[in-house]
Amino acid sequence: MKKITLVCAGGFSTSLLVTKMEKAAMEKGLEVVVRATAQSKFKEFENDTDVLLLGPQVSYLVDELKEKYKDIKVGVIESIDYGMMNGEKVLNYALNM
Amino acid sequence: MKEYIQKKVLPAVNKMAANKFLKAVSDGFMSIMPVIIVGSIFSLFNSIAIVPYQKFITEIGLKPLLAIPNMVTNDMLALYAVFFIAYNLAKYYEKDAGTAGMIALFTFLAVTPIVNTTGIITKFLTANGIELAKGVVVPAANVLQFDFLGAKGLFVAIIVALVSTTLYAKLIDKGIAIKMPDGVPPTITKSFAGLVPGFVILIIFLLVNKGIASLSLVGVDGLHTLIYTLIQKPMELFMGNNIFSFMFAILLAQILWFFGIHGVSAIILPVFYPLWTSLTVANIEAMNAGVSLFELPNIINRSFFSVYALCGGSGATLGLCIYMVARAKSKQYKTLGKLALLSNTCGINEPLVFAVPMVLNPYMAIPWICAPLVASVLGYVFTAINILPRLTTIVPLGTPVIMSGFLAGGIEGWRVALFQVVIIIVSALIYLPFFNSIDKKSYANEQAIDKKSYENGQAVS
Repeated sequence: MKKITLVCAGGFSTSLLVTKMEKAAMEKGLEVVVRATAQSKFKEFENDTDVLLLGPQVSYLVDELKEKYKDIKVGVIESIDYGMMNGEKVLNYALNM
Repeated sequence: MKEYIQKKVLPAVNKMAANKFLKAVSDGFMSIMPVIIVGSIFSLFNSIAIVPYQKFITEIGLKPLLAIPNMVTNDMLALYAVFFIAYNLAKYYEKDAGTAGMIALFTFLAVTPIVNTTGIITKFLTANGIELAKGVVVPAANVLQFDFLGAKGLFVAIIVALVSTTLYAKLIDKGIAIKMPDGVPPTITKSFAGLVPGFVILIIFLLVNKGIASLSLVGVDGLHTLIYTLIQKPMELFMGNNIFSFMFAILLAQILWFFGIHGVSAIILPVFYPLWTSLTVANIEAMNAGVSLFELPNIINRSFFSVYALCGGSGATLGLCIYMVARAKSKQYKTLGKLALLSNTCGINEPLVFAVPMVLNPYMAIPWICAPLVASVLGYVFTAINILPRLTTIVPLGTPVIMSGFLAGGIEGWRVALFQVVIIIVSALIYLPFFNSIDKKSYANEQAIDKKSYENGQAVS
């Protein structure tokens, strides 16, 4: 089961996206765990994350986090998918990384 | 041009935004929000200026109780700030946050004047030529004066927290700590690890404080008075309660947002929040002392920022969002509007920011920057001419619009809430022409795609 953690500045906007992603996963019959957290709290999930997705407004962290977490797949969510809260697209992106 | 921005400007701004000191300050202030809000709400209840209400709470003995929470929260804000800023910075250094907070706290208190009542009372008696009767002794007790525990001590709190935690982290990294043998439980090891750095940091600050005192500068008798007189007070005067510096802050935040960087948390929080918080606290003090809501000292403060400038989220987009739901021509924007509406009423508008988009979108740059500026200027003018009250309570992030108006404006909250509706309408008008042009384009695109599919014999959904 894939574990996906979303990170943005405060965790507010990403939590909306989480619900949508969970819905998309359910519709496809996929088992995933998706959660959102603020950047300062990611440490709590660092050992329990397969894919780390960054909200576009914290995209500048991508290189630093890629360096730090060599076994986690780190990526940035596309602005438009983030804005439209497109759970399906972001889920596909996460699973195909 | 876009390339240049992405290659040169963005990384530089990003680096600034990722600066751990700025982040620790803003995280610290976010952490202590409950302290401020609890204090302000009790203050609100304490000072509602309705005569029968005041009579009632005084008679049933509730009034003194209602005054307590503010005294231990806002009046001691620096204590909470120093702990939590140190706590958050230590997390970035990946060191034990609790220990760092603890060290910062006792260091802060070590440079805060502790006086003895004997001294105060004796000085008073001598100055007024009063002589005590024979055998009467002046009561002796050690007292920590509130002066620098509250908003006045905020800057020193920030400095102490940042410096002491950095020293703490560096000392631990250099291995300057008492090492415990392997079998010792981790809790004990951790507390010993904090000992040596704690000692060193305390000694350094005590010496610095004494050093400053012996400089014999006018009005300066230590770290607190130095920082307050040289830095905090002028900053508050110049940058704090000043509509121009406020507009500058908003302008900066909106420009950062334009590049996709969370403008508020990168710049506004760490730099302006401490200032604006102390201005809010000053308003609360005045309100508690019975000053009318229209005559409180500060127009600009944290509540002003959240209630007017951030009315409808960064960039004041609520008006636009409502318009999108009601009148957008293109399916794309109509759907987006519906999606974003609920969270926008709570001030969260990332969907709009990233999907209109406002980010890196020259078509929307003008309203994006102007709408909150106009909202702020209108709010300022109307408050200055006493149509709107000065604000007190700090509203938590995520409070829906209108409700935030009622909270912040106290008993005159209805004026503020009403004015927020005005801002929503005005902001919508500002966005309208720009939105209409991108909506038209999107609609034309959709038509073209539909037409093509139709011509190709496909069903149009």
